[in-house]
Amino acid sequence: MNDKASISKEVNARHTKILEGLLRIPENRECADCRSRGPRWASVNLGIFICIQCSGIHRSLGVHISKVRSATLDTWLPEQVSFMQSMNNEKSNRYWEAKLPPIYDRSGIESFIRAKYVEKRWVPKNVKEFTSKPEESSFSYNLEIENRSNAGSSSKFKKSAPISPNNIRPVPLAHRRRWGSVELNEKVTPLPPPKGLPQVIEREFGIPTKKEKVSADLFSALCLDVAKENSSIASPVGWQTFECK
Amino acid sequence: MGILFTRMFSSLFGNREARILVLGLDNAGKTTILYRLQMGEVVSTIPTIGFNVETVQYNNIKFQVWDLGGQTSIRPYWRCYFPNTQAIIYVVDSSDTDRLVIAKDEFHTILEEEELKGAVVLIFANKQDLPGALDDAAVTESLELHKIKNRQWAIFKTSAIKGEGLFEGLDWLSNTLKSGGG
Repeated sequence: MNDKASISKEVNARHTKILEGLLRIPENRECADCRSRGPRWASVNLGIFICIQCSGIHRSLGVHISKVRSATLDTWLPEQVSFMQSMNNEKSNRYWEAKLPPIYDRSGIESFIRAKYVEKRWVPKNVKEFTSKPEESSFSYNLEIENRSNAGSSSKFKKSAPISPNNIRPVPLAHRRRWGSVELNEKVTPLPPPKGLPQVIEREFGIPTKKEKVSADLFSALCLDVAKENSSIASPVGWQTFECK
Repeated sequence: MGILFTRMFSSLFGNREARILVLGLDNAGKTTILYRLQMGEVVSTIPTIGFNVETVQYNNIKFQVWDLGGQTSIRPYWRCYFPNTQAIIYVVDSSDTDRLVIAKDEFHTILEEEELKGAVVLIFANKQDLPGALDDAAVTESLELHKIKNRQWAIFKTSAIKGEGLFEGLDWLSNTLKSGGG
């Protein structure tokens, strides 16, 4: 898996189509973690689609837990795409949230995600195997789901776990100046963007890039030339085998 | 008179400015490093679609630090930012061993750029806090840093989360720039 893999434009286009299709199926319409609509990011080893906010949290877990890719901005390997095809958010959550109480406060989403995938707090106990390997096109998933109604007394799960690295202090958004970053909740378009980037922004955020203009001197630093169109290098990802006791 | 004195003082004692690009694959830790340097804090980040830019004053140098998004399809746009760059900070997720080959290829592609011929290179072997992180020697080997010719470079083990190694790297950078590199 350490080889540099070149993905042809044709293969990449096919992958994009498949991923777009996967994002439309009902099982993937909501972020696997916060349940917001229309996820555009993915964890390629967990086989889930997530929103950009949750993708940030997944990235902070480290690649030994979650490998994040954009469904629209990254080049994918065939085995990553086929693994996503074999999985979906609902299927994944039947495992990762098997013992989650039906009503659970997800407002502390970072704690929730850490409890879910790092601590594995809600995985079923009687699962033998939950693995994905690059050579497998189908996903092996032997799961005997416990009766959801028996999934733990709610008192046990009331408190959200205070799991966060000691010295992490999220900075209030107001103090974070992200000049060129486009965030989902902002109707901001970096202009003038290089050719090709508007399409990416439109696809990614559904923001029309031709109308709105934001003047910022910094944007003048963006060059107008067409960047090389050779972004056909995929990032190979070692599939993580994860076993649950 | 006061302003004149300040200007003379600045020019004599090297209150310089430097344009720095922070590059690396997606999720290497570029944005976290930028804000750790600028604010001294760990911020929670989301993937950068576009760029962040901040000024960091350190060792009498005013660093204008550009942090560019690292997703596959936006890497080709890095070159738009290359002109007038004195230094590259190349960030590697030392625990993402599967993608070190890609990180190496991107790195050497950057170094071939004519516009970056004079830029010094600082490599951060980041995420040393994570299990399985390769040390600086292993990252040096993986990135084939011995192939770098006619350029000043250095590698530091860093953990942006713990705040380790970053300012040691910046020390090297400011000394190198002051002594004429970049």
